[in-house]
Amino acid sequence: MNEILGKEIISIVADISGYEEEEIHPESDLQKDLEVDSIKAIEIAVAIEKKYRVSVRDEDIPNLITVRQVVDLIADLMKQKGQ
Amino acid sequence: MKKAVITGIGIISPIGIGKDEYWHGLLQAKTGFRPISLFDTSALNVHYAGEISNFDPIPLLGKKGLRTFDRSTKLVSAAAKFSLDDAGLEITEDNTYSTGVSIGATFGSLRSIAEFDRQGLVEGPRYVNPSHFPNTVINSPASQISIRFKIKGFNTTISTGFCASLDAISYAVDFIRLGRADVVLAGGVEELCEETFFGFYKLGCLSGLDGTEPLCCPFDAKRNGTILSEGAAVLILEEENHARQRGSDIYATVAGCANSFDTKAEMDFSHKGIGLQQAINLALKEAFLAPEQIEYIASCANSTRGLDRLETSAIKDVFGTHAYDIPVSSIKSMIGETFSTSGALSLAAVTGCLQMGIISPTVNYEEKDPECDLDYVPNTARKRIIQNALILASDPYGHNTAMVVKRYGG
Repeated sequence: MNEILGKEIISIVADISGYEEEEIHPESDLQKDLEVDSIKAIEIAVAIEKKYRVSVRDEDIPNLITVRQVVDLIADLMKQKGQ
Repeated sequence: MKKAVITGIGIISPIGIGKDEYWHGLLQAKTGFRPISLFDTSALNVHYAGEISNFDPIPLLGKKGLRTFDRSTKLVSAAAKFSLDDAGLEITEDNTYSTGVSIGATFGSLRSIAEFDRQGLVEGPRYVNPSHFPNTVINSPASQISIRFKIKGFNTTISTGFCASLDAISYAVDFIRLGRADVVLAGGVEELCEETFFGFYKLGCLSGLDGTEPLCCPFDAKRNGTILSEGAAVLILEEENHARQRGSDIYATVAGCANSFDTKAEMDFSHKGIGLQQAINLALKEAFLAPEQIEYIASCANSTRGLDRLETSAIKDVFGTHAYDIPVSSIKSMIGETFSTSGALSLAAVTGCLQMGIISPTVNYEEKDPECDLDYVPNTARKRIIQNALILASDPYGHNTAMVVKRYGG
């Protein structure tokens, strides 16, 4: 996992979930551990799209279970964009 | 018929947070007007409002879940928490379905709608924040009370402007009388925001438009407009026997409520106040009281020329010569115009008056207006034991509400 990207995304997830950054780990389950419901999941996606100027497909959002999966997806999308 | 009594009061106001601070503020004739910090008024002539600058919901509600709430929802959730604590009431699986929520709110979502639209227009529709969308509807504050406190009975929002919270309380009283609820959290909320402020500024309703210092002086000859304000008030309305079985303190009984719509009012107050007279007469009838038995009137006068004159005229028409013997005072002289919250703030003030035997004053009263010639309890609170009080609400669009409140056991 890209560490810098990981830290930035944990900061976004912390802001939206209400959990402290220290409580969030790459393997944290967004829904079960961090109480990220469907609206918060879209909110996280929108925040990430704004920050990294990538486009997350709506159908991919429900498949993102852990923080690590979010980071990996964004890293892939940035790579595809040549960032 | 079942009786609806008041067992809890939660207040977030410019003159005090919590019931005791609020009552104390009213009796000390404290005013809640200060320079606006929520938005920029440098291009305007008016810079003062009843802004609640020291409001921090986190100590009361905790940090979690507040991030996406708009100001109205934070204000009313805090007031709801105060009211539940004051009534010593805990929502459980046993009472959740017989507990309801009834909130008056009218302009509360304007700010959220504007912000949501601004984000969509500036950043593009893909980047609007979905969690801000629920705030754009006016029933969001009431709904968030039910969600936060796990209240599963009815949930209603009433948007009748200046009358909204008295109407919401009246609706709660009906639910209790008909046996459809044992407990209702009822009240109102309005937040101060630039959208509402600019609207009333352009309508010419605010004091200080000519660049002079704004003054909220109901019934005074020199009144020239109101001062906008914000706040939330939530009261616990409860079925009498339910309250007694809980061993709860009972503050007062809501004995009569009535409404009337004045079709002659179109963006201005009608001179005669036929609608308000009708509402008063119906409320008295429902409370089984003759006009002579009313000992205090909590006025809705807000320092605009039309409303203060209309209310005085309607009181004189209903009460005849007795009108001159009834103390009439307006808490808006200290708090300003809180629209949908104003009726609930009045009811909370009257409840304090019935409890303590002290009538809150009309402050900033100096110069008599020949058209407003009643006893307005000028400038200082007055000791008086009261059994029956009348609360009024009237707006320039035609809504009128009257409520009769009795001292408990009186």
